[in-house]
This record gives sequence, structure tokens and C-alpha cells, in this order.
Amino acid sequence: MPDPFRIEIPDSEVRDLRLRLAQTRWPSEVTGSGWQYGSNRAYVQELCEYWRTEFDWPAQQARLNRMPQFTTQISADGVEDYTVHFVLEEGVGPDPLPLVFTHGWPGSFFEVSKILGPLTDPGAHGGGSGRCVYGCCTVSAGIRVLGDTEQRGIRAYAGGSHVGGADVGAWLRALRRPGR
Amino acid sequence: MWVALMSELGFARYGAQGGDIGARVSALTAYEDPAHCIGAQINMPNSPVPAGHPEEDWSGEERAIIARMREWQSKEAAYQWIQGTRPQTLSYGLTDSPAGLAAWIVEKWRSWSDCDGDIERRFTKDEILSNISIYWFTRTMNSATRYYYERRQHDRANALPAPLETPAGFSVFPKEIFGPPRQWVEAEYNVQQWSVHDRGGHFAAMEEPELLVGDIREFFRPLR
Repeated sequence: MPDPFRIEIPDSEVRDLRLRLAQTRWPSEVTGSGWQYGSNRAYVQELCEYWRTEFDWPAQQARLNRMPQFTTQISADGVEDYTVHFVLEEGVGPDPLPLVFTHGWPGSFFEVSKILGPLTDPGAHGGGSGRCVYGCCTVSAGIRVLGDTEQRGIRAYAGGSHVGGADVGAWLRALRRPGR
Repeated sequence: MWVALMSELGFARYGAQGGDIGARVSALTAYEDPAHCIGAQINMPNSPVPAGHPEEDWSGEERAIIARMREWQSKEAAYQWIQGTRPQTLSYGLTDSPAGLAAWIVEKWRSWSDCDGDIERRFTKDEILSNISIYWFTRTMNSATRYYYERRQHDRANALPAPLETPAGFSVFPKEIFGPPRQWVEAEYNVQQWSVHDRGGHFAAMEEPELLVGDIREFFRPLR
């Protein structure tokens, strides 16, 4: 059965991030090129400066942790004991319909944060008295703080191990393997 | 895998929803588990030109869509090639440099959202950086980009193995990357909902949560 999970990034990781941001070696940029050649340097610098000096990871982590999260190990279609991380919010009201929400790249389970409440508790979000949705699991297996990144027992094709983004390739292929 | 997860959670009947890669996963979940998955609601229709619909038969609208797709492939899709061919090489820089990671991700959130070039019209810095931080702290950009490699190795293009009989619903946002006409989608799906919006882009759940929630609820209401 699923185990409750909370994100707990050590302070040392946050300090390491800030140190790296402070020591960034910035590339040159064609004058006045905006986003034409790719990400605009001035904007990336502005974003990274905010990340380093103002972004409050503990507060954001607490926000993320307001979504009930779990992990469980799944074996299916030749993928053994694959640890998946998901959000599971119980619906308010009678007979909620389970819904599995799957994010993409380069997103994360963060993408469900704005729709989770209105789906699971429509009455509290101006949605009238309609029946709610149960759960709303989201993809994105294993936040790395779970442990190893090199999970054993996963076939080569299953891709990596833990997933922050769209390593749904593993699930995808598992779904598609014949003979299930 | 979601089939196994929903089974483990004891959900005998469930729905699937997603965009981007989640669009395909949701469709395949419905395809693989028709006994339990009652419908797929998708916010990025991505059906290809139907088989048996040769170029000489394309309408002006269809030609314009294909031209737009080819232009996108030419100007915007390089990330798919590097992620699909040498993700490991890419991963050293993106795992070691937060500025590099931020630049890689934020370009996509800007160009794929309905923001007219100003990303912060759609997302706050805290939102942008929460998502990037998840990739950073978990060191998962490598496994995430590897999806594109694995897809090239093991998966066909966007077409479903066969038409999906399970009901499907679609939310269509104007700034979505790809916008196939409804008739292409109907060649693959049992389309029960085709909801066209006048604003929003690729990241529907973040950009237009109310519109998406409305579509999800409307689509599943008659199915439950």
C-alpha cells in the first residue's frame, strides 16, 4: 500500500544551489537579440538572481506538501518495484470519480496544484454542488529525496529511476508491452 | 503503470486526463484498460493526418496546419533531437548548473504559453522556480529528458495503435503547439467533447485552471 510522503530538501542543498547561482559564468549574447537565439540573458539573470536571493524554497516546499503525497512500488510489464510518487487528494462528497492526471515535460506534479482543489472539492471553489473527483493522482515518480537515483531492477528501456519531470516513458512502455 | 496504480488503489472505475506527454499517456491508459478507464480528457490533441488521406485531398486549413507544424519542427524542435539522441551528454550541464537548467526550462514555458512573449503575464517567478527547483533538487532532468530517447527507440509517432472506443474529450487552446483539426482526431478517438477556448496555451492546468476544470467536469459528468 502507498506510503505517505513529504518533500524535505536538506538546507545544505539549498545553500549549494545559492552558491552555484552566485558563481554562474554567464555567456555572451548578441546585442539586442531578445529571445531570438534562445533564452534571453537578461531575463535568465533576473530569474536566477531572484532564485538566489528572494525565492523561499522552504515556503514553496510547504505549499507543495499541502498536497497529500504518497509513494508506492509498482511492478507491471517487466518493470519491477518501480517507485512512483503521486498526489492523492480525497474528493469531498458522495461517490467521487477517481481521475489520474498526467503532466508532461518540462513540467512536474506542481502542474496539478491549481486544479486539485476545484476538482476534489468543487463546492469550496465556486463550482456549485456538482460531484467531485476523487484523487487526481499525478505522475512524477520519486522525488529524489526518496533515495537512490539508480533504482535496481528496472530494465534498461524503463529509463531512469526517479522522476521529477516526464520520465513517463517508463510507464508508457509498460502500458504498451504486449501480453499484459 | 497507471493501470497498475489505479488497481492497487482499488479504483474500479476512473478517468484519465493530461496534456503534452500526459495526453499520450492518458490515451494509452484508456486504450489499455477499457474495462476500468471510463474516459480520457485531453488538452493537447495530437492526432496525425489520418491514413488514407493523401496530400492532394487536404483542405486549405489542413495545409496551413501542416505548414505550421513543419515550421515548428524546423524552428523550435531541436530540444527533441538532442533529448532524443544524446540526453546523457546534455545532462551534465543541466544537472551541474542551475542557470543552465533554468534557461533550458524557462524558454519552453515562455514560448508554449499564451503570454505574448512576457512569461510573467502567465506565471509568477515563484511558480516558474518551484517547477525548476523540483527538477534541480531531485536531479531528474536527465531521466526526464531520457523519455525522448526512449520514445524514439520504442514508440511510434503520435498515432494510437488502433482507434480508441472509450469516450474521449478534448480541450483546445489557441496557443497550443499543435492543433490538428477535429476530423483527424475523430479518426482515432470517440470524440464526445471538443471544447475550443479563446485563450490559453500548452500548460492548461497552470494557465487556465478554471477552463480546464470546467471541461474535465463537463466531460466526465455523463460518463460516471
